Amino acid sequence: MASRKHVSFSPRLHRFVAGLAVGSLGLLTGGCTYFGIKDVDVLSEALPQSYQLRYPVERVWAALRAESESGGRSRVLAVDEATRTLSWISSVDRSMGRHESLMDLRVGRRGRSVPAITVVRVEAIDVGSRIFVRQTYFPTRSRFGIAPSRGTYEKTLIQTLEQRLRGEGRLAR
Amino acid sequence: MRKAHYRLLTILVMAVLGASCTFRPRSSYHESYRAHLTDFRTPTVESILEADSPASRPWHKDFDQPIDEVWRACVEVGTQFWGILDLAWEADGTRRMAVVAAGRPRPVGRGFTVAVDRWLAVAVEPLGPGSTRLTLAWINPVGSRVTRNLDLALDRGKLKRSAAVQQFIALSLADRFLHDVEAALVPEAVYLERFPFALPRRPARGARPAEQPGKQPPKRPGLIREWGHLDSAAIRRNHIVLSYPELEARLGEIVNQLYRATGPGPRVRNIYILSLRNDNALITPNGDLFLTRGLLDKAESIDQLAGVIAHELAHLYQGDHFYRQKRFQRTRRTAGILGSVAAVGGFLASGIYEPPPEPTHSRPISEQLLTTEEILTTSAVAVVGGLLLPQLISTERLKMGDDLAGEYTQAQEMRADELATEYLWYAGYQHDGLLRYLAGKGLGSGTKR
Repeated sequence: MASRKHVSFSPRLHRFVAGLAVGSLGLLTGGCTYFGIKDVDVLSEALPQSYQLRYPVERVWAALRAESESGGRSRVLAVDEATRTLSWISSVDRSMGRHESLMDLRVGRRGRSVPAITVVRVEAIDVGSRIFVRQTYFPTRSRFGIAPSRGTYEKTLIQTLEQRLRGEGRLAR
Repeated sequence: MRKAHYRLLTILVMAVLGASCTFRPRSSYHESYRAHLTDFRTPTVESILEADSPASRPWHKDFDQPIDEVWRACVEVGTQFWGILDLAWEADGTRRMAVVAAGRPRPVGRGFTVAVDRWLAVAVEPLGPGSTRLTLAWINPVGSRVTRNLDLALDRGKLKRSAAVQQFIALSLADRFLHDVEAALVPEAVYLERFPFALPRRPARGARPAEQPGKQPPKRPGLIREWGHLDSAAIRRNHIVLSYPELEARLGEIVNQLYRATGPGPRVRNIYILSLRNDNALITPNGDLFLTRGLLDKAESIDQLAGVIAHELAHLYQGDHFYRQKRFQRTRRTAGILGSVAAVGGFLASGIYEPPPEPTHSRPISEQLLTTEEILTTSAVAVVGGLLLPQLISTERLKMGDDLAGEYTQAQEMRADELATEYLWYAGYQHDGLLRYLAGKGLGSGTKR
């Protein structure tokens, strides 16, 4: 049977360890509580549940297909014509406009790209189309983990679609 | 250089090292995400069905609806999940889907808040003319194999969790998907029939007499509203919102009728119906009103529904969010001060800032430096600090979505109940609508929901 070596700690070391523990826990408690939540993290504008466009659903769906295929760094994952649902994955970074998640205002910082899956579904309504857009970021290493977009990208996509649809309208005339 | 300086320097170096090798859990599928899922092989319907066991719940469920309706509900729910990986139709009429399911299960603890993601394979097959079976299985990141049992090796080298917790995560995510699809399949007509009208049988009695404002209004009401935007967004991104346009319009009529009693004040912006099975309602500071499907199932009359809405309106009109926000800020400030005091006191006690020793004869450098135990202890504390700090910060951030709409004080709840009863009476509804609803839940007035 192996004998256990008795290790004695001096009172001075005890005080040192206890002091460090209390100090570190105090820093953690104070730091996390104080810096964990900031007023800048709030949303200045409401995040819409869906977006409405005054264009017919067929045109919006076609514009969406064209937009999804135009991105050089994206790959279409799924297309369902029956429910007009489209999904693609892309890599985003700061050079591609603002990408912000609900948890992190700086997605893809320091030049590191972050995979993002975008799901879009288009529905016909009385006065045009309703679009549901969801973008989710999947950073490899992030303290905030997988997080949904806070709407910045969604608004950009809707504006891009509107521009594309307006452009098509001018060409048709 | 004194010994205290060496200690301080060691702690700083170790803290930097600890922070640089911060523990950041990553998804089991991170390599696939980075490769844009080029290595992802869509599982066939046969493999999904083979992975299912008829005796096991909740891996499959039969619905009395045609396949098109079930498929539409699956897509509607999948759109609001964390990503759709595949949608495909087979020649024999079956359909399959792969979605990213994610959650922050409570058993893991709120200290570890990184979402756990699992790829869920869904097969939808017709059983008959008006009957459809929905089958679930998990997709293993290694080779995209379909499995019923989540391989614990998925997380090797990362966050270790027990088998029971892993299984609980899998079951809760699968159960949630099935429940959400079931909720999305409930036709709006069911609720329109249950609540055929929105207006009360009696006319409104006018506005309730306004009270003297006894509380100080918020200094920055815009900030409270912006917190409400974030709160609402977090709720809607973490839960499935059902689309019932006519019912929402009917609920809007109830709100408008209650305005006759409340008089001028903050207004409800949007009404959302969540697919949650528990009966609950909440309102965010920006005026977004959330009702759960469980509540719609539980309420027996329009008066009871109006009672619950009136209760939430009372929270909004009383500014309960503001006072919760104020209390939260005070807590944050106090914690910061106490934490700093504890940190300074702790480090002082540890002897980092010990007074310079009396001048003695020179000692060898090895005696002036830290002992091995001290260096090891310092490193351990610093590394643990580096591990825990980001996790705790992320916990605090994730709580943002829950904080404002979460708990009120007992006094606020009782005051909201009282006001709701008055609102109901002045608006023309049965004044005991809320009480009857609470009695149906087995709760008394003022009980936290």
